[in-house]
Amino acid sequence: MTNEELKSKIEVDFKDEILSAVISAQKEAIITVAPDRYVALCQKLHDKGEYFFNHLSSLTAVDYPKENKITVVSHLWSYKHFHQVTIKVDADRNNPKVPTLENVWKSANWFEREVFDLYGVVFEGHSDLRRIMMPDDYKKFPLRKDFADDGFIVKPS
Amino acid sequence: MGVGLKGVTHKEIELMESESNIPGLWTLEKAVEFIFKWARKNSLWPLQFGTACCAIEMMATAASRYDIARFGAEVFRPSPRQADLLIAAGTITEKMGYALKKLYEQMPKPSWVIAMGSCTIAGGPYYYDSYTVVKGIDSFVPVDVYVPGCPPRPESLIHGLMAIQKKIDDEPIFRRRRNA
Amino acid sequence: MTDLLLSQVKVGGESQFGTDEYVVNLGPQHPATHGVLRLIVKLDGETVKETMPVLGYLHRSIEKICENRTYPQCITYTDRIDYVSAMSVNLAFALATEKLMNIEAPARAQWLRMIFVELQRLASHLLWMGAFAGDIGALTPFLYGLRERERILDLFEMTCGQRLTYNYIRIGGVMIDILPEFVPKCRAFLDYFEPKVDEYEDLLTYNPIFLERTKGVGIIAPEVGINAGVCGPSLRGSGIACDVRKQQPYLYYDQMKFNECIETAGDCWSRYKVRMNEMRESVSIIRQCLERLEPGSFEAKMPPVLKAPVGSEIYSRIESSRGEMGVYLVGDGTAKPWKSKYRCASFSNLYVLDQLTKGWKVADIMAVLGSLDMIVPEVDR
Repeated sequence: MTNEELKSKIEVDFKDEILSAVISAQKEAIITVAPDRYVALCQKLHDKGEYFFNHLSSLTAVDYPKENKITVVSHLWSYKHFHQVTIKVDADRNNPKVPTLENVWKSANWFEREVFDLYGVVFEGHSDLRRIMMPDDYKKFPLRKDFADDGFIVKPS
Repeated sequence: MGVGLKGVTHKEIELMESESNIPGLWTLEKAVEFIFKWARKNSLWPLQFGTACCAIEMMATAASRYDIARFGAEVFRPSPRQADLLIAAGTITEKMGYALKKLYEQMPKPSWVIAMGSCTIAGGPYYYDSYTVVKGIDSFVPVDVYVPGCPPRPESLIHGLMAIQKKIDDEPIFRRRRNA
Repeated sequence: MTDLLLSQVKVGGESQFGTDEYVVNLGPQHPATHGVLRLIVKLDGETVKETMPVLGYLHRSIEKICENRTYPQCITYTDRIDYVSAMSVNLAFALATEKLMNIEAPARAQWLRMIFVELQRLASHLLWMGAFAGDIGALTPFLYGLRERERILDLFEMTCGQRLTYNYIRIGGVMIDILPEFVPKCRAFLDYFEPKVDEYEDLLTYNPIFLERTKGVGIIAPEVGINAGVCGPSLRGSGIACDVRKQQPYLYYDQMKFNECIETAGDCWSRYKVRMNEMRESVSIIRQCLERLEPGSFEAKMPPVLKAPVGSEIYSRIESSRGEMGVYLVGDGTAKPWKSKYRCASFSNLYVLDQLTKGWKVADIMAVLGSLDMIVPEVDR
């Protein structure tokens, strides 16, 4: 399906579960969903059918300090129908908690560990949530916009 | 045969001559030093330590075209106990720095260190905005030769190896043992 | 300080012979881990019970750095993410930025990009072949592979001056046009190289020792592989068609005639065969591109400072030598990206290592790790 057809179909099929569905200026289908409907939506998109998004391409997070939120962004791809969709879920920046997608795609395990390590987002239901890149006793979350540490020299512009 | 005495001063030569009571001992010392240095510099065994991009250029130096076997150094040892040259090739992060220090301490002396690539010299392109990269390995490991480049060409690494060989030539052997 | 992980591991098992499990550290300095990967392996005798990779020994915070660099400055860092196939990562970032800012590269630049990316795929597979055979114990293919790779690096050096970290594929085109002697030299190299692939296959493919070490070892079941995020030649070895060049064509791949190399057994030997066949397909693609190379300009006309529109974002993927390479960029109206994420194939491929080596021997860990074609800076970034 093309991105426009995909967006319209998702808008119709999951009317009550999503917060918004848009086509971006770069022609991608972006679906925003609330945390409590997140896993159910992804499970339905993953299963066999017209969607069949069997490949989780990437799961990452974006920090928006001005809007006081951290958005977890996942990109899904279908090896059968060759279409792509972006799913976004927002979390409060002071206490970010999002349900885990590990039971739908196993590859989400390490992606979510990385987001926890670098942004501090806690994934509820994750089997093994600990740091992956930084040492285990590291206290801060490096990829947040307000990060500062000894030895961290910011490039002067 | 004066190849081993480049760095020794006139005063030290007089001292050496006066210390040896047996006539001819000093010439014997020079000869033995020459053999030790010839053996050491022509069979430097590097430790297989490559972290990042510079490791690929180190592998290319050891491969068919830029043959490091000409210098006797193609035997890359996996264990630090059997190596005497540490070519630190690639970016060193803080987590890896502990391992690097342990590896250097496990290498039996005499040992030499080449800092290959700008990342090991001063942090390289990761000097700014990086929260993990160590900005220069000479803060915890004594470096003998710095080979700049990002990554340095295999010819540069061979030049660095030849600089280590020259350094071995210039260091007195027995004098060091007496002072140590 | 780094040994906190070992204390989380529970040691001690039951066996009728009274054996005990012990925990062994593989790396971070190890000849066969392809870089600084640390594996904590729980063993019962020689049999592997569990493999736990510890990452982060080469975490160079490239994503954080890119948030404070302009878009063209980020391309230098993309070289270092996968230094064995640097052109592919350059291309992934350049394509993503072009989609973000609506820039179109001219036709000659697209053909040149295709030639260099396919040459890079050849170079990467040659190095992989050398490293994989070296892990198994065959030390000669390493020297053969690097010998041919040096010829490809000569072609790169003729064009952009660098052997490893090129910074050649830029936003809007390429850095500089090729010299007139590039095309005949490239054709001469392809004529020289094509029979060499058969020579290397003669050496390895039906070699009894190689077959013993790789046939039936590390089988990835197709459904398990897709769910666990395996991509690229590792998944094609299990029979799944997943080539981004066929499914979501970029540059001029939809006009090229090439086959997607697929094997069905799913073991190390199939993954090896997929990559050897891919080398042949790359040679054919480069030949087609050299035929169709047209004169023109090598870079697009762009504003002096490249700014992304406010609230824009893009996820763009290409097929690099290791698998799917994706770049996610978020623009905020300034000349620097608000967020950049590199989705690398090695990171997701490494996840299945634990499942593949359970119950096998220690030597099989090396065979499986080699066949997954993993590069550590892609894992750690």
